[in-house]
Amino acid sequence: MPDTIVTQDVDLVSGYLARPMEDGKYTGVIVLQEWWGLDEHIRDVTRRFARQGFVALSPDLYHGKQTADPDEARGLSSGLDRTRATRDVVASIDYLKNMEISNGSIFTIGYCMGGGISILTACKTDLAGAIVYYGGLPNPVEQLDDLNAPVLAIYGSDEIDRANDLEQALNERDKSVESHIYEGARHAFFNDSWDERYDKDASDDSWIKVMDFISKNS
Amino acid sequence: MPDTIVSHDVDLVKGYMARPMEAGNYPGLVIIQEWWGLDEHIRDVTRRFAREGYVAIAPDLFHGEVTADPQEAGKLAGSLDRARAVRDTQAAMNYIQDSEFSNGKMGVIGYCLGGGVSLLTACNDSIDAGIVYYGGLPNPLDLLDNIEAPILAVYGEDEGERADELETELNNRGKSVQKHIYPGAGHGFFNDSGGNHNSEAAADAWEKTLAFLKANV
Repeated sequence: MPDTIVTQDVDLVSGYLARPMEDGKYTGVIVLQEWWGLDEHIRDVTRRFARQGFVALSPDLYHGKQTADPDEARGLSSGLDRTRATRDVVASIDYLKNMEISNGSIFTIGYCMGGGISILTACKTDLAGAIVYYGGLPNPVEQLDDLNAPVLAIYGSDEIDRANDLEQALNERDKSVESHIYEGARHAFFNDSWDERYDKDASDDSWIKVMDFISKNS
Repeated sequence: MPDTIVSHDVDLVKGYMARPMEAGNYPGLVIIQEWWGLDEHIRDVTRRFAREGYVAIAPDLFHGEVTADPQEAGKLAGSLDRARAVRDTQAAMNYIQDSEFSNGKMGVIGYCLGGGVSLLTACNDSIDAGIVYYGGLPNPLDLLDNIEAPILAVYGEDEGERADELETELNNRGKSVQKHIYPGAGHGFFNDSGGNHNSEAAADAWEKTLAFLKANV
């Protein structure tokens, strides 16, 4: 009798990893995607962290989907279950921590949609630090009560209100926060694959701020 | 200049899936391994449930490790981060719910080590049915307050006290629980690849499990 079922090994959560070639013990950085998905830009950023001496991992929060179309990206982003996304990030943290080349210290960094998830993750698990580029506040905001990690917040001046809201919400709770607002820069200014939004000066300066923040808190 | 880094795609959480060949919408079932790991027996059980009409996934809670050595199994089980195990189980549930084969219903079943993880998942997530074969109680016990799903508890006579304790704790909290203790059967009696297999008890427990699932998912 022929079998009536199909079987296969499946990837329940997957991601993209970049690490220094040389063996050693490295700080981990979890890189969290913009609303486009785990695209070539995010892979490139992940590799940049590896070249700076970090073991960097970007989980695929959309589970195989990505797009260059803003309307579709908006749909994917608003359809994303934040609880599930946070679990996928924690799965990445678990994976990194169990790697031989991990020194146990882990940061999250997220851009746009991923910025909000970076902060949300820091509210749910222990981290060495959480970095947010132009991301939203947790909803409900009281989740910030549970945050232990220092936060680095980076925004363009087009989102100055959002940046101030986050800083204020963290200050009210006696959390450690360092914010930088780049005059004239706009949402997604770090994305050098998006000509219209990319701001090289702001991008380069913020990269240095990120490196300083990680080295200070590792 | 040659690059100084290595980069590649990685599987962060893996599993084994079996589903009916025919297209359709089926209830989901996550099968949670014994302390041996995601071994051939657990894969076989996963296929058995698929033949009964479930989209079944067994997540690999040991992330690549499988053993037939009791000492090593004890070590693997002892060092398993239970919170991570629950997250891996949830990843399997999400995977099923995203698939085109899901009807939206979800059960979780676990054996031995996995029995405890199954209960713990029922304490953390909204599922439709939780089944535990000879598994441990959550620590702290008050996690049971959060259970929404009906629970089927299956134990051998050697663990009758554990079964009674689970039943009492669930009853005290007004939770739905159905308990079966098999006289003469021991821990692991359902595992037909193991030394403690009891075919009569296993066959009866299988029928009770299918009936429980049919009623709830």
